[in-house]
Amino acid sequence: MMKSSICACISLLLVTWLTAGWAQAQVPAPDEPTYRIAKQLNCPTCAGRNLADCPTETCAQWKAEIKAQLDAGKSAEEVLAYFQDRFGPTVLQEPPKSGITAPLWAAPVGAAVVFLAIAGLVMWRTAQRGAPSPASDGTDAHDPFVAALEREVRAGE
Amino acid sequence: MRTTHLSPRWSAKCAPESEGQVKGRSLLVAGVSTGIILIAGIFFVALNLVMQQGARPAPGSPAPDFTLKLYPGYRAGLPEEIRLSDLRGNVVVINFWASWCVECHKEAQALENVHRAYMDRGVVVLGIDYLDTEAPALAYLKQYDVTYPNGIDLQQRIAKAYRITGVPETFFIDRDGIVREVVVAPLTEAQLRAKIEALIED
Amino acid sequence: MLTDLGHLAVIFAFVACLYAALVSLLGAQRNDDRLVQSGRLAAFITFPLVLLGCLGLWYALLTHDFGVKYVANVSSLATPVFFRITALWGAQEGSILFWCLIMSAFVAAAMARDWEAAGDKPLLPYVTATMALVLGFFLFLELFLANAFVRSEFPPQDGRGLNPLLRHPGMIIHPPMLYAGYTGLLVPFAFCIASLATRRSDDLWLRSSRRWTLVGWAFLTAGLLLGARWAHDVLGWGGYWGWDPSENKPLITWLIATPFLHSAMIQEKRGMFKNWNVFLVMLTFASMFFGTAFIRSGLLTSVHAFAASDIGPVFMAALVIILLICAALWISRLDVLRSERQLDSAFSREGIFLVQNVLFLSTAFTVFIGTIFPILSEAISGTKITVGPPFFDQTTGPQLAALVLLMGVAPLLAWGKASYAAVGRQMLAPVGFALLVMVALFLSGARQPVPLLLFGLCAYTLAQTLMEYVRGVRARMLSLNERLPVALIRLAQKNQRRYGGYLVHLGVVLLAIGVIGKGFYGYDTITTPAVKLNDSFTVGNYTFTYRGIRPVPCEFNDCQTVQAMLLVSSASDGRVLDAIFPYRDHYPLQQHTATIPAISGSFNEEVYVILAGWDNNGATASFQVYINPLINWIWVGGIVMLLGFLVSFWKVPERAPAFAPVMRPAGAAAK
Repeated sequence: MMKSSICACISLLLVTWLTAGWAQAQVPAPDEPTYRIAKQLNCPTCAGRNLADCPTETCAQWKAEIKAQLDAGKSAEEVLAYFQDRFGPTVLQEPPKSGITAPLWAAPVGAAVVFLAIAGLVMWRTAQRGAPSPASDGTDAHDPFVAALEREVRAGE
Repeated sequence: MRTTHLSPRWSAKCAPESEGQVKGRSLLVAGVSTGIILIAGIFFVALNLVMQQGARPAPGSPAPDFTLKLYPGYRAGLPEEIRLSDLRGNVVVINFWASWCVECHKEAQALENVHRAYMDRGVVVLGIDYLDTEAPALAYLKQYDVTYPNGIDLQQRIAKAYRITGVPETFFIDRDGIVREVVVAPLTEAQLRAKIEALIED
Repeated sequence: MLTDLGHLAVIFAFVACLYAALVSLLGAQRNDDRLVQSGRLAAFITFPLVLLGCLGLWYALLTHDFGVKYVANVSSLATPVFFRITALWGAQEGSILFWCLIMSAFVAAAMARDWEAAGDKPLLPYVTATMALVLGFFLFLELFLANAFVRSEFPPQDGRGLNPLLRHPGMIIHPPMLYAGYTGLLVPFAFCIASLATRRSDDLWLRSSRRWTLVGWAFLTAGLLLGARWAHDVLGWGGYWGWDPSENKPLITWLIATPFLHSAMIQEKRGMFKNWNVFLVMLTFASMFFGTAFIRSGLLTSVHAFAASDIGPVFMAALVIILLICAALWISRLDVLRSERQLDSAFSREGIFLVQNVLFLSTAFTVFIGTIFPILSEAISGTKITVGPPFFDQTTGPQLAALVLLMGVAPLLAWGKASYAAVGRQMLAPVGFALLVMVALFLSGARQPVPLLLFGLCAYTLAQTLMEYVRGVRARMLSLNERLPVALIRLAQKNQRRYGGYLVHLGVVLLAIGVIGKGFYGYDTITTPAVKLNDSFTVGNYTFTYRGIRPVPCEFNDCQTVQAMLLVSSASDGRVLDAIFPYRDHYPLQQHTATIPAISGSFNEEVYVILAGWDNNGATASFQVYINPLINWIWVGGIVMLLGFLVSFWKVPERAPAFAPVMRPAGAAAK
C-alpha cells in the first residue's frame, strides 16, 4: 500500500514539474528557410559552429547570399550545392552519407553491430557449454533481488 | 618478458595450454598488433600533414601552380580562366583578400595604383577572393574602382596550396615563378612599389 | 632566483622518477625490500619537488618576471593576481608542469598508503615503477620539449596577457579537474600492470585501486561538466557541447572508464571478465594518452588546441611503446586470467553488463572516428571534411538512449540468472509511470514522436531507479521498524556503493532530460535585423525591448567592454520579466572579441541573448536569441551525479574493514 502511495506522490510531482515548463516551451522552431539552410552550413570564421550561430561579418554576408538565392527562386538543395561548389565540401555541417564520407557513417553502425554480435556470441557460446556454475548464491529464484535485499538489511544489525 | 615472483606465496598456478588457447592467443596477438600499428599509422600520417600544413611556400621555393576563374569585368584582357604558369615571364603579385576583411580595405587602393603604374612593365597584380560571396565581392571591387584581374578561389584550392592563415596575405613571385617574399599584413603603396621594383630589376 | 630553483627541482623530480623506476624493478627482481622502499620514497618525493617547480613559476608570474618567456606569454602587468595564479595552466608549457604536479600528487598519495595493511605489498614495486615512468615521461616533455622556465635574452616590458577565453571560473577549474581525472585513472592502470607483472589471478588490483578509479572518474565527470558550462557561458552560441576535439577527448576516456567501473564489479562479485577488465583499464589509459597526444601536438585545430610543436612524435613513440608493453604483458598472462565462472544466462546482471560495456565502447568508438575523420579524409583524399554536431548527435544519440534504458533494467536483474516473471513484475509500475508522463506531455502539446519516446525512456529509468530506494527503505521500515529518514540513511550507509551508484544513475537521467529538452525543443533565431533604440522584437513567448548600449569598465584592465540593455517581457501579457545586459569584450592586445551572453528566464526555460553588433553608437543593434528549455537539468543532473559519487566514495567510519587502505604520512610509512 505504502509503496504505491509513495509512487503516486512522486509521479504527480514529477509530471507537474516537467509539464509546467513544458507548456511554455511549445513554440514551433522557426521555419524560416534561410535559417534552416544556415544551420546546415559551417561558418568559415567561427571554428566548429554553424552559420546560424555565428555573428561575424562573413557569416552575415553568407546568410544574405542564401536569402538572395532563395528569393531568386532556387531550392534549398540548389543553394547548398552552390555553397559546396564555391567553397568546397568543408562547408557542410553534416557530411553526406555517400562518397568519401560514407565510411564515416557506416563505422559507428558497424562497430555497434560487430561489438554486440561478439558479445552475443560470447554469451551464446558460454550458454552452450551448459553446466550452470556451482555457486548460485542461494538466492530465491522467484524474487532474487528482494531476497538479497532482506538478507542484507538484516545482516547489518 | 620477465616473470619475477616476489614471493612464492603469491605465485599463481599455471595450467598447460590447450590447442584452442594457443590458437586464440595468436589471433589475439595478431589483432592487438594490428590495432597498435593502425593507431600509430593514423597518428604519423596526421602528424605529417600538420608538418606540411605549417609552412606556406617559403621564399625561394617555386610558387604552386593554380587556375583561377576571373570575375567578369575584372579580366584585364586575360582569358576567363588563367593559369599561374601562363604568366611566367611576368612578376606576379598574388593578393588574397575578402570583402568582409577590414584590413583588406586599407590596401585595395594601393594595389590598384600599383597595377596601373606597372601593368606595362611586365607586372601582374592578381587578386584572389577568399571565402567570399559574389555580390559583396563585386561591390568591393567597384568601390575601389579595381581594374586588376580578380577571381574567386573556388573550393579554397589556392588558399590551401598557399597555406594562407587568413586575409590579407600577399605573395611576390618573380619572372621564373619563384616565391620571393610573403607578407601577412596590409601593404602600403610605397612598400608595394619598393618590392616590385626590386623584382623588376632582378 | 626562486624560479631557477623551481627549474632545478623539476630536474631533480625527473631524476627521482628514473631512480624510482629502476630501483623498484631491481628490488622486485632481487626480492629486496630496502630497494623497493627506496624506490617508493623516491616516487613520493616527486610531489614536493614538482610543487617546488610550480611555486617557482608562480613566483615568476606573481612578480611579473617577463624575462621568463612563459610569463610574458600568458600574463601582463594588467593581469589580476588571481589570473596570474591560474595562468600556470594557461598555455602548453605551464600546463604540462601543472599536469605533472597533479600526477605527482596522485603518485605520492599512492606511495603514502599503508601497503602492508592493505595486503597488496607484492604489487608495490611494479606500481611504483609504472607510475614513476609515466610521470617521468611528462617531466621529460616539460624539461626537454616545452620548458616553462626558459628565459629570453631581451625581456619585454609587458607581457601578452592571459588568453581571454580562459578567463572564466569554469575554464579555471576545468583543466585541473580533467588532469586530476586522467591522472587518477593512472592508478588503476598501474595496479593492473603490477598485477600482471606478478602473475596474480585474483582481483586484488581491482579492489586496491577501486576508490582511486572512482576518484579519477568523478574528476573526469566534473571536468566535462565544467567544460560544458564554460562553453555555455563564454563561447556564446547557445549550446553547451560543440563536439569539439578537445571536448571529445575527455569524453572518449569517460566513455571507456564508465563501463570499467561496472565490469570491475563483475570481477569482484563473480570472478568473471578478468581479461575484459585488463583490456578496459589499458584502453582507458591509452585513450587518455592518445587524446593528450592529439591535443598537445596541435593535430586538431580546436577551440583550445595548443600550438603545433615537436611534442607529437615523442608522444607517439611513447604511446606505441606503452601499447606494446601492455599487449605483451597481457598476452603472456592470459592463462592466469581465466574466468572462474561461466556465464549462466544472458538474462542476468553479468549479461546486461556485457551489453552495456559493449555499447559504451561502440559509443566511444563513434566519437573517436568522428573526431579523427577530418584528418583521415585529408590524408586519403586531400579534402578536409568537417564532421559537425549533426553527425555526432545522430550516431551517438541512439546508443546513449539505449544505455539509459539499460540503466533502468540492469538493477532488476540478479547475478547469475534472472527470472523473466520477477523482472517483468518489477517493471510494471515504472513502465506505467513512463506511459503516464508520455500521455501528460502529449496532452500538453509535445507531439514529436522521438522526444516523446525519449522522455518516456527517461521517466521509466527515473522511476525504476527510485523504486530501488523505495524497495530498500520499505524493507527496512517493515523489518526493523525504522522511520523513513532513518531507514533511507541506514540503507545508503549499509551499501554505499550500490545506492551511491543509483544516485549517479538518477543524475544521468536528469542530465538526459536536459539534453533532450535543449536538443529537440531548443529555439533560436538567426541574428535579428538591426533593432532601433526603444524598439522591440519578439522571439517565442518573449518580447525584447532594446534600451541602448554603453561602455562599461572592463572586468580586466586590458579590454574594452560594451554592454547592451534589453528589457524582457512576456509576449502574451506584456509583463516585464527581467532586464538583461549582454556584452562584448574587445581585447586589442590579443585581437580577440568575446561575446558574453546574458541569461534570463525560468529554471525550466532559459533565455540566452547575445549582442551580435551595433551601429552608430548604438542607434541600432542586433541580437541573437536562444531559448533553451530544460537546459538547467543538465547542471542539476551533473551535481546529482557528483553527489552520488560522494555517497559511494565517502567512508563512513562505522566499523573499519580489516583491509581498508589507511593513509599515513609518508615519513612513517617509508622506513
